[in-house]
Formats: sequence, structure tokens, C-alpha cells
Amino acid sequence: MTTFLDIHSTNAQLNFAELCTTANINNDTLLEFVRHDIAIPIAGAQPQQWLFHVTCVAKVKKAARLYRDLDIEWADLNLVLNLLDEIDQLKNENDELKQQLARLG
Amino acid sequence: MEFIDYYSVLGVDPTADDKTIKTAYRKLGRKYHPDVSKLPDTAEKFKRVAEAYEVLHSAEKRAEYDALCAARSSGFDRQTGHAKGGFYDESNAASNQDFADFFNAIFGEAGSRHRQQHRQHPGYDHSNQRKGADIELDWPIMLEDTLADTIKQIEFVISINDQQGYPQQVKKSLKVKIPAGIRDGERIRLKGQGTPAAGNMPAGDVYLTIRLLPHPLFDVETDNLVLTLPLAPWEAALGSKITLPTLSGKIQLAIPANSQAGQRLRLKGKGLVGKKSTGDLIVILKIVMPPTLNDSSTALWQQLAESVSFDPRREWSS
Repeated sequence: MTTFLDIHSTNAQLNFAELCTTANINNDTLLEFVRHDIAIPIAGAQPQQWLFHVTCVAKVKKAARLYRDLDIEWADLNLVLNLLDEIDQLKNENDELKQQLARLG
Repeated sequence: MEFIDYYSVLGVDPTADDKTIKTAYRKLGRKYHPDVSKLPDTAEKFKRVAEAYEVLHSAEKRAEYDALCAARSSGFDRQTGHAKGGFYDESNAASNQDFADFFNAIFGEAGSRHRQQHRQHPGYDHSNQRKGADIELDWPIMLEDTLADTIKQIEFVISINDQQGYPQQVKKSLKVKIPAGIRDGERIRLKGQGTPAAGNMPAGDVYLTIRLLPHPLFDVETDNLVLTLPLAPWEAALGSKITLPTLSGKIQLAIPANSQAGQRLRLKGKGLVGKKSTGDLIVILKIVMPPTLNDSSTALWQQLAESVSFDPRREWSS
């Protein structure tokens, strides 16, 4: 089956309930994620009004998996996620520099 | 169905206490968890580790499992294949299906329903009223695909239950618009294109993570393209006009006289199309010696060496 899609989804926004459904987490978990800066609303003062950028879905899902699987405490979760991101970033930079170095060699 | 030695999977002794089991699980989690590990194909390995932990960290399930082990060693079950203990040996590992079958055989559907819920805290929404599973895919694309909105086809397999409720693997094909200026690691969400859900709940989504394929000539630095330009020594010394490749055609570049190796020349607006503006093409000069010298060129180099006072290692003597 072939479906044609034309979605500029990178700018999409999700409300509280949509983010819970998309990431398959319950309300309390998302509240904890917001409390620990893992998910940061881009608008809204109250949870009912919160809006999240769609790009945070990946981070929220990853946080939920790490919390579930590795018994990481709420307070440590954001640190772990940031360190994992930093490792990825450094690895990418390292790969790019190695490639450039190989071209100059 | 093969007997699974959960103690071997976690690499602990059958007399290990809860703390030892938890420590072993966290250590293997760090090694195999797909979000943490840099090793390939760790998802299935982690699933096995998580399953072993689920059994061994629950007093009730562990007692049930230990009773089964005891019955086995007393001759109740003399099937071959029982691990001898020690650390889990991947080469003799049972298949994933064996793992799943073995777990279900002991703990049944009720056990399966609670699999991987190690925490007391309800992190996940476990209600039956849930959307279908999301599908996450890496999508390799070429640098050229990012210059303008591009439509490309992607194929993947989803699992759909047939009328009898048995999962069937179905190939799905989608045409997806890649927005201009997309970058490595960015994601495109295709809402509702993932695994269908039961009942009236929405289907899951598909998340495509963009992976820019390495280009044979260009490297990427944010919106800029980097090109390493090989030059003959005399091109660098005397200056020259070079025809350069770009992603959108060829251009002429004037190399100034007395250029140095490693020097960077910037060509405005010849890089990647960005979300706000177009990046630059950065040309790094690389001076390449001819592979062989004939008598006349050797004589010319000799003449140069005698007439030019130049010490490339002057800084070493200071």
C-alpha cells in the first residue's frame, strides 16, 4: 500500500494529553518529567494549557524507557539524558574530524 | 523449549541476594540497554536480561523458578541444554522465542502482562486503551536531498493482527516529503502511520530519524560544506583558477598566489540550504607533491632550494 504524505511535522505542537498518548506514559510521569526539566512546555501556565514541541517526544520516550528499565531516579534522569546526548554529540564530532583528517592525509 | 538459566543470564550465583541481582542487572543494563549501549543489536540481549531480572528480583517469581530448578536437578526434567552456571554464554544462547516461550510457560499470561514493570511507580500507561505501537526508523538520505523539499519513498514492515488475532508482517510503503534544510539526527513524524491499535484507539506514529550519508567529497559543519582541495605546489605558490564541484554544479575559484596548506577559503552561499539561510562552502587547501620526479623537475627543485632562503622549522630552533 502506498500513501502520500506531505507533513511539515517538525513544527507540530502537542498538548499534555497528546504527549502522554504519543509517549505512552501516564499523567503523573509527564508531570515528573516537567518538574525535572526533561520535558519543557513551550507555552501555557497550567498543565491543561501546556504545549510541547514535537521534538521533545523522542527525549520523553527515552526518559520513560530508562526510568522503567534501569531504575534511574527522577533527579538523575535528566543528567543521564544530557550525558548521553553529549556522548552522541562528541562521537559525531569525532567522526567528522576523523573524516576531515583522512582527507587531509 | 529450552530451559533458561536466569542466574547465568545475569551472571550471578543461585544463592545471590537481592542487592547482588540488582547490581548485576544494572551493570548489564548499562552494557546492553539500547538507549545507552553503543554495541550493535543489543535490544534482544537487553530483553533477555530484563526478563531474567523480572523473575529473579521478585521473591514470588524467584521462588517459583527455584522450585522448578530444584525439580529439574532432582531428575524431574532431564532435558538437555541446562546451563551449567557462570556467566551467560551468548554462543549457546537460546533463541528469543525460547526466552518468550519459557517465560510464558512458567508465569503464563498474567506474568507476561506485567513484564518489564520493575518499578512500583506506574511510569507507563498500562491501560488497554492505548494507541498502537510507534515505529522508529533511521532514514539515510543524501546531502543533495536536503537542498530543496524532496519527496522520497520509504518502506518498512509493520505487524498487523489478522482476523484471528495472529500478527502478520505487512510491508508498508510511504512517500514522504523531506523538508529543505533538514539535518542529521532530526526527526520526521508520520502521525498515525505506525502499528494499528485495537478497538477505536489511534494507530501509532512513525518517527524517521534523518541520517545524512557521508559524501565522497564534502563534509558538513552545521550549514557549511567543507571541501578539501588538493593543489600542486606551484598552483599554491603562483596562484591558479580551479573548477570546483558544489552540490548544485561547478564553479570557478581563484587560488591566490602564495597560498598555504590548511588555508581556508570561504565561498558565501555555496553550502547547504539551511532553515534560515544558506551556508557557505569552505575550501581547505591541501598541497600534494607529484608522486615521482624526473631529472628536469629535480633540477628545478634543486634550483629553488638554492635560491630561496626558507626554513620551515625555524620555530624549533628558538
